Amino acid sequence: MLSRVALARKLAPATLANARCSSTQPVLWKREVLEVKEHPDRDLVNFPRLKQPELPGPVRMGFIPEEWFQFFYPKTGLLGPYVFGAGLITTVLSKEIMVVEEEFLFGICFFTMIAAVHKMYGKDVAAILDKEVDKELEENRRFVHENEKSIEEAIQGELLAQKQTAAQDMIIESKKENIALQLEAEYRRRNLKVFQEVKKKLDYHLEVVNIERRLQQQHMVDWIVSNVLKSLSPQQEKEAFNQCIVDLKSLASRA
Amino acid sequence: MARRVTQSAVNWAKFAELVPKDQTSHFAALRNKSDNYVRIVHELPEGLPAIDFSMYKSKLGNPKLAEEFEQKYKAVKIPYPEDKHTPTIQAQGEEAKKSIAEWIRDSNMRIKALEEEKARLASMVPLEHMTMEDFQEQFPHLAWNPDKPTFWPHDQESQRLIQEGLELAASGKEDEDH
Repeated sequence: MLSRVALARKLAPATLANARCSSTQPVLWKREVLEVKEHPDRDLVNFPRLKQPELPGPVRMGFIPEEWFQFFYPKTGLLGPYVFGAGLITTVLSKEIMVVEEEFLFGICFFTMIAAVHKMYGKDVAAILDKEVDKELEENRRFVHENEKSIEEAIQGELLAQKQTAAQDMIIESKKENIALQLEAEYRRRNLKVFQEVKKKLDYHLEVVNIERRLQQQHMVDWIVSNVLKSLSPQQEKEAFNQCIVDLKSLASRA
Repeated sequence: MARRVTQSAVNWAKFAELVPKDQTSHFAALRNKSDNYVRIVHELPEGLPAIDFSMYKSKLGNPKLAEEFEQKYKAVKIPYPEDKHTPTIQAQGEEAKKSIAEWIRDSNMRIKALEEEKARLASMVPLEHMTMEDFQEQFPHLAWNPDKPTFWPHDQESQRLIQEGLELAASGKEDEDH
């Protein structure tokens, strides 16, 4: 009866469709599909890659998964799962499959304690653990990011080095140029040498002419002086001497 | 006669930009040499320097001698030095070009590999959704490998030490202290 209501409200077809998606998949709580590059052979329609769920699926009464209820709805209607649960407990107890003795009470206490601790501290513990997970994830992400960065740097370095190879042409060009410059310098040095040698020869000839002329002059002067001296007689010398003394005297009287 | 060069036609500023940082000293040496050669060339006269023959003609006793000197000086042909090294440099350049082409090919291959690695990292399953298998696929060197178990405390340094100890034990050498 209730199942028909469910069908009439088109609850069932949706759940059925979801159930078909993947045999292991919960129904209402559908895991998201992860869009990543996959191997081309992978069957993405029937077996898509699913995201890792961050949080657990919804539950009822603290621990019974929602899927259980969804599983019962099409067959038994809305009350079905509860009736099944109550019937199961009744059966187990009445057939003494589960015997109620002192251990049973301990079990009740134990699970109550667990539930209490979960209620009181569950969120805090979860927060601490989440923080740890986030920290680790962040570290791993940084690792990947650094990898990417170093790859990028390596690519840039390669490109730069490729660009720098253009300098090789310049090196060769400048080497050739250096040789040409040295040849030019040598040529000019030869020019200068020729000039210097010719100039030296010319200067030598000039100097020869000069010296000849100077010697001739010297010789002429010597010759004239010696001839003049030779032509002077002792009489003339005496007269000159006397004249000198007279001159000296006149000079002395004037002074 | 080879080409007459009196100036450096190389674009040194552009050249300097292309020099890798660790090779600047080589570049400086080359540049220094080139500058030096240019300086030497500029210090020397370009052609045959002129001689004032009229002065010599008037002063020399024998003008015919000066005349002869002048004629021979004007007729003198100074040989340009032979260029023996340019072919060597040319060959060097060809060789360098060949090796550069090879290197660039290798470099392009390296870049391609790096790009592939980059693409792989970019298209990787996000870390928070990775399973152990995915991790092993992406980072085989970091993932747990059952064939190569690690020892406590599982860091690299201790692995190295333990590995050395194992090798020592395998080689059968006794420690000298014992």
